Amino acid sequence: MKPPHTLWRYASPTHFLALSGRLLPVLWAAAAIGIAAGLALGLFWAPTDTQQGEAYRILYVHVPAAWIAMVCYGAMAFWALWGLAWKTRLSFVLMRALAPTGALFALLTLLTGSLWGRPTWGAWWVWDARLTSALLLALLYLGFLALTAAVDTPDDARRGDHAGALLALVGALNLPVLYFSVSWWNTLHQGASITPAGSRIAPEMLAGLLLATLGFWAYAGAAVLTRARLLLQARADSEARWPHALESAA
Amino acid sequence: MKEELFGSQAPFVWASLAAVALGIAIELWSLRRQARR
Repeated sequence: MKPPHTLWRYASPTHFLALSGRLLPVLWAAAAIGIAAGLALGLFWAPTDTQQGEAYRILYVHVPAAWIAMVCYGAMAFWALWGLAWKTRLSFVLMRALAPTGALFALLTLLTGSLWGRPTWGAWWVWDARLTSALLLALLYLGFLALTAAVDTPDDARRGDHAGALLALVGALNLPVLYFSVSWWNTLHQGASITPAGSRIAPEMLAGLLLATLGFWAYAGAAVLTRARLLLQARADSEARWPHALESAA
Repeated sequence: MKEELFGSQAPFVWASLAAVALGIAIELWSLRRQARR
């Protein structure tokens, strides 16, 4: 039977493996070039900030890390919902492939933010709405990884899928709080400098930030796709072992 | 050159970059180890 939409064919592992195999070299190359060029511009070419001094250069890694951490969680929740609704086998694989990369960038957001906060605000940490919801995001990632690892068994690495999907969906409630925290509350953390309406950053500072962001995004995409391919392979191997396991049990 | 690479705030800037580099290195090592299994 013909699938209802051509996009559905990408829900098949075969198509996913072929498409990701073509995308990966491009993404790894874009990651290396984007990160190197973006950081070179941001660290060595962009001028010193009149208010923040040199510490603002930390934002060339902090801002991309924060975007990636937030969007990866949104994508995780999307695939969790898709997996629960339509039971496509690729959905939970993508959900689980996103978690370690999202967790890494959530932790890096907190760490680099803290290293920026000390020289700029005079404090490593404040319980402000943006920082607290970013901490909650990191804890949700760690909770997701711990929960799925605890429910999985050596024979069945997909037992944790449903429990993980539910946690991913419940945790997604934190995303609007995280994103809008700087507008809803009077936070120490500044509001968005880049919005759909435009940017409030000087062009010579913005160029490096955009390039670095592109590079980190390409890196995150490549890491997630690589992990998804490995997870698919591991699941295929585990399915192939079932008949032998049944024979030996009989 | 940028006040000899970031002046008094250099430890904060370089520590941030080192943390990101270490994080990425650990993730790449973990993916490589997963691929070998």
